Amino acid sequence: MTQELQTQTMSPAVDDTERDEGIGARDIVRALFKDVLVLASVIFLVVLIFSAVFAEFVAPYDPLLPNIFANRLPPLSTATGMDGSEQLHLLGTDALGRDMLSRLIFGARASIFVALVSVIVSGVLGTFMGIVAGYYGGITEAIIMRAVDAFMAVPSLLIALFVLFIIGGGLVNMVLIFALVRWVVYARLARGITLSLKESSFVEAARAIGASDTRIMLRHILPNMISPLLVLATLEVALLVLAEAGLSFLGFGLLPPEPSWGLMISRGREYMREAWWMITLPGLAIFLTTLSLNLVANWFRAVMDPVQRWRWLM
Amino acid sequence: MKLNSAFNTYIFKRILNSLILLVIVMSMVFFANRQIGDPARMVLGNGASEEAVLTLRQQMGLEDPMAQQYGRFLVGLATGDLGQTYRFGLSNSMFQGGSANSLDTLPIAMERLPATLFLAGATILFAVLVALPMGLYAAVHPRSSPDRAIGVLSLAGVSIVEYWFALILVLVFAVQFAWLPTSGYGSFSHVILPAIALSLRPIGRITQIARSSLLDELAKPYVTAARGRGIPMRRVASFHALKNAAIPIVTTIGDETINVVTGVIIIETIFGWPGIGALTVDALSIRDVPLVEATVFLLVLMVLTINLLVDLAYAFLNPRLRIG
Amino acid sequence: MALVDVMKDMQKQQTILDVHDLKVSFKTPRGHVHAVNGINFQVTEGEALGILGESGSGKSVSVGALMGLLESPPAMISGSANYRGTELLNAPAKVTRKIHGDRISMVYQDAITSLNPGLTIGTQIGELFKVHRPKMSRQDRRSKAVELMEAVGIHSASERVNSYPHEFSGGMNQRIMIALGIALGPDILIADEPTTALDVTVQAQIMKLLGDLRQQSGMALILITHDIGLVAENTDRLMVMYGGRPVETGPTGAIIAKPAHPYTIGLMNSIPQIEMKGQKLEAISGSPPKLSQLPQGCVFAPRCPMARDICRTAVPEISAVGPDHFSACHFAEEVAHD
Repeated sequence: MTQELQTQTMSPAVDDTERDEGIGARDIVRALFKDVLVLASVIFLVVLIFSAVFAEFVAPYDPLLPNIFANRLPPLSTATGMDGSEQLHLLGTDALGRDMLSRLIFGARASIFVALVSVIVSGVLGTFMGIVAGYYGGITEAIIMRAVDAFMAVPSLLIALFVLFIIGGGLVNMVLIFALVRWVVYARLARGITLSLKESSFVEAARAIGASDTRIMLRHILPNMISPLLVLATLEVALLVLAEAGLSFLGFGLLPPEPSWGLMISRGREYMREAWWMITLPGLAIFLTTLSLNLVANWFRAVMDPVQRWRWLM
Repeated sequence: MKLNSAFNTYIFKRILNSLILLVIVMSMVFFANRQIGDPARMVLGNGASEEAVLTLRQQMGLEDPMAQQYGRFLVGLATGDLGQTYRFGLSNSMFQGGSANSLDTLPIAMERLPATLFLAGATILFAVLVALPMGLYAAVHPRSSPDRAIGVLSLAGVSIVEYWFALILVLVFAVQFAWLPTSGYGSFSHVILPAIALSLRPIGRITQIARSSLLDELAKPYVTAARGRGIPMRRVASFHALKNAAIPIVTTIGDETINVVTGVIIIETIFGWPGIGALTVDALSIRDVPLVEATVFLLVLMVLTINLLVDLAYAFLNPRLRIG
Repeated sequence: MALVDVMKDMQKQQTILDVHDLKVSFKTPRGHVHAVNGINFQVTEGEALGILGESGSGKSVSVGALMGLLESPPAMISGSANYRGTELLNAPAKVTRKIHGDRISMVYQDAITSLNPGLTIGTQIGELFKVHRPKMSRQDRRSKAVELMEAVGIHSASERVNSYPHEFSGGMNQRIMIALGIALGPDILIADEPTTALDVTVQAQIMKLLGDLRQQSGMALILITHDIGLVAENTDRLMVMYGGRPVETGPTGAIIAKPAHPYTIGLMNSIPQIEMKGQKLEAISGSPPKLSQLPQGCVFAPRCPMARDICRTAVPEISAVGPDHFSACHFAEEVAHD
């Protein structure tokens, strides 16, 4: 669709010439504190990432250590551990008596690691492809965009499922597969922005003073797409956390005994009727994580949007 | 409807592209499938003698050069013959109840198609009926409390793990209260839980897109002008703006239908829904390669068809694509 | 003079729209933006009023407030605008909806974006009747649409009534906007920069069309523009706006002949004239004021070549410089006689 030039006389955004003065880090932080939900999301994500990174220190017990005498204990139970000490299981235990909270924390590490690394790999690859396609055009662009269209036409989950079926699951294979199927979304975004920037006066100016193509792409085009790329990447992390859970559930993703959220749901399903917490808690963990990511991405996009921004800063 | 010739050419190209893509995807599936082990041994099991395996390999044409096998595969693809299942007729519960009398995989897979189409259709219909009014209301009352609530709810919809939510629904409504069946197929009550579980994501996405594209439209000068003519806001939103906002909304409905078609893979497994998704998972788990090829073929075909339908819908919505 | 003529004359003098102390400000993250700061004007039956000003002078926002087009919040509107006894400002939509588009209608600046690209011209004109004259039949609405298109000079209207806006040229779209404006025989037609987006030749055609239609129907016209030539030729009375305030009001002829505000003089000096060929064009120095930080005294003082100390501290009173001719300048008399 063509973007129409808007000549809107009724909007204060046009009448007030001084509005578009840019936005500083301080404005963003101030706006953050005005939105309780987004602030809570940010805090949740920080705590989550901290626990995932320092899982060995944060988790109360070994996530792989079974205690068959304390299996399927509901949340807030205490049990005598294998070493004879009294143990509190804040979120209960699973079918093998392993501490749920510890497993959730280590599960966070697996789920977030897969999603984050995949996003970084696919994001870098896709952005590079998109900028190159948009900047050089011609046959380069045709080849890259044809590949993008092909990947876009077939659902990623289907490709991932099928390829994992062939090459087998596991952490590394999942990252590879996610990178393979998701780079296209960044490529499409980066190409679009590059096309619009290519003709802009500052790129023309850089070219006129003899800047190399690489320099123009890295110094002039790339910095202008950082915030939409960040928004997209955040949404993609959320999407991949969900995808990891789905594939692991079907048995094509991470492999047991690795504590992953998807696998925990899968195991919990067998004990759904007797031990509700086994299935409820990992699902809630995924839900809270992806919801926080989505809320933050949504908010960040609104704050960065020159049309919407002023409402959020007020 | 008369379309302008450029658009006809475009549609023709899209159909051609889709067919080429289908052949490419199926070829990749073909070559990939040849990497996962000896089909003859899979059919006969590990106890079979080398001789028996070799005989079967010859019968199955696996001893022929790869080019010849691929040629046969392409001819088969063109004529709708995707080979025969390895496991059909063995005592495997998943095949019981099927009425297809042959071992051909495509008819076996086709038999599952109506169930999947029914589930996907019910899901999308439900999602659109819920999402459009929500998005419309949110766009007409931006920044009101209902708008904020709708915004958070739609984000929650896209944040949830569908199959987990499906299991929770089963736990609450089927196990705890016993209002609805836990699984199965047949009556209307069977479709409720899987359709709700599958609809959360489409509801969230369609609501978001409906709201934002309507807001974009409502900011345009023609809306201001229409309001200045004394036309009530409700009519401006639902008659003027909605039609122009429809293109991104229809695109999203198409994308989400595609997501639902992939989503059925897990949801059908959970609810024992006899559709193409459950068949795919079963075929994958017993490594029945020709059957996997048939289900992937149908899934990809569905996706490409939805994409085409979305393209055609554009013509109805954008007067520039029609002959005046 | 015959009695009939006198009565006609008296009727003509009847005020149909009375705007009193209209103020509009917008709430923004960096404080309030004062777009309109207390304007007063009357429109009498059949007259043509010009509102002249640069962009940001508040002229478009004023009519936006009159037509109920400002989103509130962020817009805050005060004062009153009385149309034949009905208050238009901050009134329920139910009330104003009956007047907007029917009794007071508007022609917008950019016709192509002000028409719905997804609906046919016939549908858009017909909708006016559907909303304001619900009893009218479908066929009548259609024939009315064709009739109106012919009235604004669109040929073979009965065939083109089913066309979409993108199938017309810019000038034709502006004619369609005018058809929408006059459809229900309004008392007042507000034209907001109706010719800015058009070629010069098309501009003249559109203004002639507006003049002809006015003669036939006797409706009043409010012409909003930054083009002093346009108001000089097409209006009876004039209000010059600057920084959200009226700086000079009066009969158009009197203002053109004897401008009594330095800003008006500046505007007049900045248009090229044949007899001044070879002379340097005098543009007004500086730029319009920031509406969030209006100067303490006269809004024009920072750019005024005649500004003195008092101009920077006190807001000038409005003073009469001639019959029905007012200026908001501390030295209005002086300026007028220079």
